[in-house]
Amino acid sequence: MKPWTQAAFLCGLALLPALPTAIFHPKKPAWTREALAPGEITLDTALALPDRVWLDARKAGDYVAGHIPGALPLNEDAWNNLLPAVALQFQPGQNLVIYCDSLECNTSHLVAERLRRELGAENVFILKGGWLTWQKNQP
Amino acid sequence: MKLFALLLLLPLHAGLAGLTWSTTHFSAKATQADKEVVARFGFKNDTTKPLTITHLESSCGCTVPQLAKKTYAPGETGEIVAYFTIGQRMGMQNSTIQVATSDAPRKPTALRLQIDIPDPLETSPLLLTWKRGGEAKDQVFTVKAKPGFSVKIAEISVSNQQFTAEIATAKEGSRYDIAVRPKNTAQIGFGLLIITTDYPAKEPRVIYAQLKVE
Amino acid sequence: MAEKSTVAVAASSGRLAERLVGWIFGGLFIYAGGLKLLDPAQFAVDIANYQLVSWPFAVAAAIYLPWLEILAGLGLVTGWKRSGALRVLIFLMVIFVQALFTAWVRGLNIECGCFGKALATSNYALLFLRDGAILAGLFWLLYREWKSRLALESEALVVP
Repeated sequence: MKPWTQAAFLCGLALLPALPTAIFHPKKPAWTREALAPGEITLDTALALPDRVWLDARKAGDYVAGHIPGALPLNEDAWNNLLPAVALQFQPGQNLVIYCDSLECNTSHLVAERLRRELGAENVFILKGGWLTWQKNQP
Repeated sequence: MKLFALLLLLPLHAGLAGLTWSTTHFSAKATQADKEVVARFGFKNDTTKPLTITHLESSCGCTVPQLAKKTYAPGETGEIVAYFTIGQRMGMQNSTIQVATSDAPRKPTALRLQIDIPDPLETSPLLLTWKRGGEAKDQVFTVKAKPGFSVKIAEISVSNQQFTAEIATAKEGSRYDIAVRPKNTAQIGFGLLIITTDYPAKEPRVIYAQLKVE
Repeated sequence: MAEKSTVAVAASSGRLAERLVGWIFGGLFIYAGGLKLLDPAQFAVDIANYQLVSWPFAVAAAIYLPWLEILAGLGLVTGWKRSGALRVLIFLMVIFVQALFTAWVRGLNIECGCFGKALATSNYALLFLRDGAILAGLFWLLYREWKSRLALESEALVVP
């Protein structure tokens, strides 16, 4: 077999194990990017959580303009001022759900990490789709 | 063999925005005592046509990019000045500014800012537990200032009066050992140890630890 | 007589070196491919981070490429379809280095993904050095193959 024919043969051969891998591998990626990142939950899941507290990770102005009822503001611009309110109402086992603007929002993840680190809170989640999702689902 | 050589030379480079950048990566260290960090990204229009900046967006509200004007003639230079507000952030901050130009409006260049705001303190442990009915003995919570920082404790309190805390040993500005214990271990209880520091001066940081009798 | 044996020794030690390099690099690719197979989801994310292909393409590549690496690596180690394996690996490395170059020029923050999360680094200098070394080794094998083919052809001409 000439060298490049061999190469083509190998390329074709690799498809054989690739197919079952695509179907059966426990850690196979989702074909669409809509899948949940670690720590993220959907709005339905969040609403079903008992003992839930909403945390608004957006800018102060956005929070004042409108937020999920009962949500406490917690963002990195004024972390030191805002953390006490969250800490003092905290009970172990409480489910904290953080939201920010919408889909492409890294801020929630940063706030989540910092909250886990500084308060030792275990059940910290991020609302997938953020404030946008909440608004879309209002009657 | 010739096809092989050809494939080797075929560049896969995605269309880069027509500007040539002096740098697309900025990193710096800062402390919470600083107000902001300013990053400058210089560029030059090395093409033969004038280029207009069509898209300038930051990934984070903490980073505000500014541009003197939008259109640059061939050979002209300019810069994007990015203002990163420290706020009360801590740790490694990453933000990106997407810049797209008129010749490739769908293929933006990403300018990266990496600002490291090291934590001035080391604290441990995050959780102190006692067994219900067990001995109500002291456990120690330590606050240490990292080298180069001087942080004092302004106030200590607990959120639940079932617990009590006081400074056991102190080296002002650098290390504090706080003795915490429950007054009794008769019932299950939960509280927070609340330590108010004096840094940064304007809005000082508060440290928390969970206290449990279980 | 002595001349002939030194040439023979030189030739066979060259062959030994060639085989050793083949084992080392073949093993390297089998290892790298295997690591990627442990977490295809993460590998897909790593590919996507280069911002060169669409997400579904990255998923397909994340599932397919490790197997190609392993098969080609096996080819180098066992000698089965060795020439083809060598070309596949060179081709993969060249594409990868170019992707790396475009990522570097655009200032992307990527974690290599070559060896799974184990040796992730966004240090471009290190990455170019590492891949440069691997490519150099592969090209050397290619050169050896070309030389031995020349030698066979010239032997064939010398028919007593």
